[in-house]
Amino acid sequence: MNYSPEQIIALAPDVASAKAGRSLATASKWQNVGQDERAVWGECQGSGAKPYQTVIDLHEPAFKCSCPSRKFPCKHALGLFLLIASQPATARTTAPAWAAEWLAKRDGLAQRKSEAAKKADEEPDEATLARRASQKAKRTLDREAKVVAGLKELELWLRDLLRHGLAASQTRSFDYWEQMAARLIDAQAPGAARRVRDLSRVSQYGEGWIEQMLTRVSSLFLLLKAFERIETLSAATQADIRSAIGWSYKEDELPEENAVADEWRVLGQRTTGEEALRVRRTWLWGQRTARGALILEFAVAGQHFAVDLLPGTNMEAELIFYPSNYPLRATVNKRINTSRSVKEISGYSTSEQLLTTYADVLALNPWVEAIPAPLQTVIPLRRSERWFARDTDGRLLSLRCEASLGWKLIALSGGYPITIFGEWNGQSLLPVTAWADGRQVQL
Amino acid sequence: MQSWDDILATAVVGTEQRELKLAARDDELGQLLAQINHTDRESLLLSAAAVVALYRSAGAAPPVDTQPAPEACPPDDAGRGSAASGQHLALMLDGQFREVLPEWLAAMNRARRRVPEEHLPALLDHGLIEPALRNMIAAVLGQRGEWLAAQNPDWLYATRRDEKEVWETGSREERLLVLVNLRSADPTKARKLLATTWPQESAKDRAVFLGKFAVGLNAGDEPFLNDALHDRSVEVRRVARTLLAALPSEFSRRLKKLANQVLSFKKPLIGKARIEVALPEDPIAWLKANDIEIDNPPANATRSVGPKAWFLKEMISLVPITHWSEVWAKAPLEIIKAADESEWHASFILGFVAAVQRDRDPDWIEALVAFTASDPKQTPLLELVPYLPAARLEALSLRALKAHSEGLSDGHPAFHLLMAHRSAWSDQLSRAVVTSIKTRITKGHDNTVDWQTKTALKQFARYVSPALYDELASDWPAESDTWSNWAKGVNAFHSLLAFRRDMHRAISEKEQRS
Repeated sequence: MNYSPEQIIALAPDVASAKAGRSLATASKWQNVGQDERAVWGECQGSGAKPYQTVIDLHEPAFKCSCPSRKFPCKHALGLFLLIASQPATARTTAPAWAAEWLAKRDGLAQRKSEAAKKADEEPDEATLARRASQKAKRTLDREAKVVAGLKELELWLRDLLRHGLAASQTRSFDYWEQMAARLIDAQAPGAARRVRDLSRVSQYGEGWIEQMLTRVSSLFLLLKAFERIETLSAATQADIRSAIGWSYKEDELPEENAVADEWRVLGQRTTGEEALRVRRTWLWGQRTARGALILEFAVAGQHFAVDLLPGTNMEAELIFYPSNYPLRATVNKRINTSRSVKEISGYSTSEQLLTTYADVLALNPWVEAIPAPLQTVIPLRRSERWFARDTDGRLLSLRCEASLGWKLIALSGGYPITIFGEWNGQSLLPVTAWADGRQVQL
Repeated sequence: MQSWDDILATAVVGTEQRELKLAARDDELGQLLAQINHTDRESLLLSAAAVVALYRSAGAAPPVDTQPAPEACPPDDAGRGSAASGQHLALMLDGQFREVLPEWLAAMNRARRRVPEEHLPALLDHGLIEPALRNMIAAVLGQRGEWLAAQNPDWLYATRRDEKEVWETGSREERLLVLVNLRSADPTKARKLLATTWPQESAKDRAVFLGKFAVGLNAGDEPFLNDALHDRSVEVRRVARTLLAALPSEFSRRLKKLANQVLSFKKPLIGKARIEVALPEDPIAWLKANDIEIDNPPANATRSVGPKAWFLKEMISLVPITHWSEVWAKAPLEIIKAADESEWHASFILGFVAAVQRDRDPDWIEALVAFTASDPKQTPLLELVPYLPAARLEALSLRALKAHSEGLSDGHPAFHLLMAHRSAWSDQLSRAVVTSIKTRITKGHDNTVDWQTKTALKQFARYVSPALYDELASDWPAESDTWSNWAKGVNAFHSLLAFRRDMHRAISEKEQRS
């Protein structure tokens, strides 16, 4: 399949790599460049005596380079990828030994993986099962005790906050919020901790902050009251409560019945966080099931994200959803087919449809943070320094964006309706991708 | 909503001050609220808030726009630049290969391509920090860009605005741009525009604005310039004289006549030709008696050269340079040599240089450069080289490269010509320069560090022909023992050239719709 330069640049682990990759995307830097149905390879003269050998498996895509860089993909891989993308008419040749070796190794890896998976599927003996179950039960009990203690403190803290009134909370020091959040981290309830940190931010908002504060404080209260009687609730609701607290399922514990096969469209991607911990959110949309899915990935300092989800592509795959009343977060279980680009997307044609969906979702999971919102035929516009998307009913949905992004949307639209995909949090839309005039643009 | 207002009011002051009393409601929400199982004031408040907040959130509806939809942008007839072109632009705006941006803008304009929409805001912002590019930016915005610029006051510069309005209300930069643009399109209109505000302008602005009359200078400007000869500001009077000297004006005609009276080309039977000077005792008074007014020399100007020498230089600088070759029927170099024989030779050279910078006559420039370069007493007038037209620079460089095959260095006669040649080079020159640099590197045993040539490589990469990339980027003498000195510079040369090649390719390619 063909990749566009934008898609390739989006793979860069950071801005510096993107720049360096672009400057390596010229034929003069490369020798022995070749390509077959599956892969491209080439040699790039670096500062050392021996040129670096770079291979790209186009199917995933996956990269391999002999350079010592710890960035992934490295600038050589990006440069070669961009070079090939800019001159598609390269004759098919046979891969040199060093490239073929790596590709063969990848095939072996995939095979071993599926064998290992098969092995894991085999029934272990009863003693092993019993031992595993008891270890797991102990871990669960330990954690539960910690979480219960942490949430007890949170409840006391919340009551205290309300006793003195929210008006007083605006003058609280940073430590006031941070201490409670740190306590919840210790109690292994990072989701609750994040919600407390958010309160500290809300206290600094302008107009309307107090309503926001009350809404969030009461939502936290609802969460800990729900946790108190979690045993009485359905399994899916239990999962939603746990995930709001930050007690997530392990990827390998996901129930198999949650698998959904579909042709998944990669709608958009955004990375947040600092170098120490970066979070990448990739939004997918099932072409046949018409449902959204969120792939969350984390990279701590120096780590890189896998590079197999490219905005603007489709992939035939089986996802496994995390248990929830409104399953959204998922992980890619099996990739069946390599992606191809398709331009059109379908979505909500009015804001009313989006809001009806959102209301339904709230009824299922009152702690939901954002839902995927593909909006068709909206006109982005600016009203007194704020940004909106106006739907065909003339309703104004608030956009959460900086001026540079707002202007970009207006430029793309030209005053005509366009399609915007974003994250809807009940109040405003965070734009991620736009489609205009037959083109898809990452925002 | 009453329940929410009650809850909020209690939450603001705190349960210590106030107890939440929920008003009864006979709807489903009321039933739900009535079921709240609370033990104390705080849990009642928090539970009720949780219920009502969700209820409100689920029922929230965005407001209906009370204003009409914005007027849509008219369709564009220019084609959108390719995605790769957009990438190149983003790269340059990001700071890499920034020096090529003017070339990119010009090529997009020639190809009648417009900037892809998503890059418009960043390009328009760039025009704010680099005003010199504004005209070029405006040319590639397309309908969409103009439409967009009209909505952001920061980008007003890119919109079609009434010249008069900008002239009256714009910043100094904007006004200057309007004046220059108008001078090249309609000089008379530009003059009239300046005349409307002339008396209110500061002396500094008057001089700068009047200086822009060099663009589109024509006989119609003469009366305005004649008035400016009597301006309050010395600088404005000087600018006016320079401009009048460049026109077949009454001022110029009289001055030429007077100059002919005091200067004569003499060729004795034996010995060298020389220009004889017969100045009156008080030359400024003499000019004044003949209806030519020039200012007295500034005090610091005559301290070293004396008033007569100053006057001579001033007079020569105000006479069109080609006048001398015409009246004396002699080649420029002959005249320069004859002037050098005069006791006033310094005044002659300074006057010629000033005149040539205004008139840009290539024969005279070449003669002055050649004369000063061949005379060990003189400092070579290399600063005049950039005044030569591109075709001349091209021809001179080629000739110099051919005559001196020892390889390019900062001492090579072609070096300063190439440094001054700042527009697209022909294929022939591109090849010759690259060959000459390769020769230089191949020769090796080069202990002197020639920073100038190494730095020049980066500049040359902006002008050599990008279509020849494959040829120019191959066969560099990497085996030479001085290669390590050059490798970095040559790599930078290749990178920039490759970027230009890719950039031009991307501009000429049709937008791909895949």
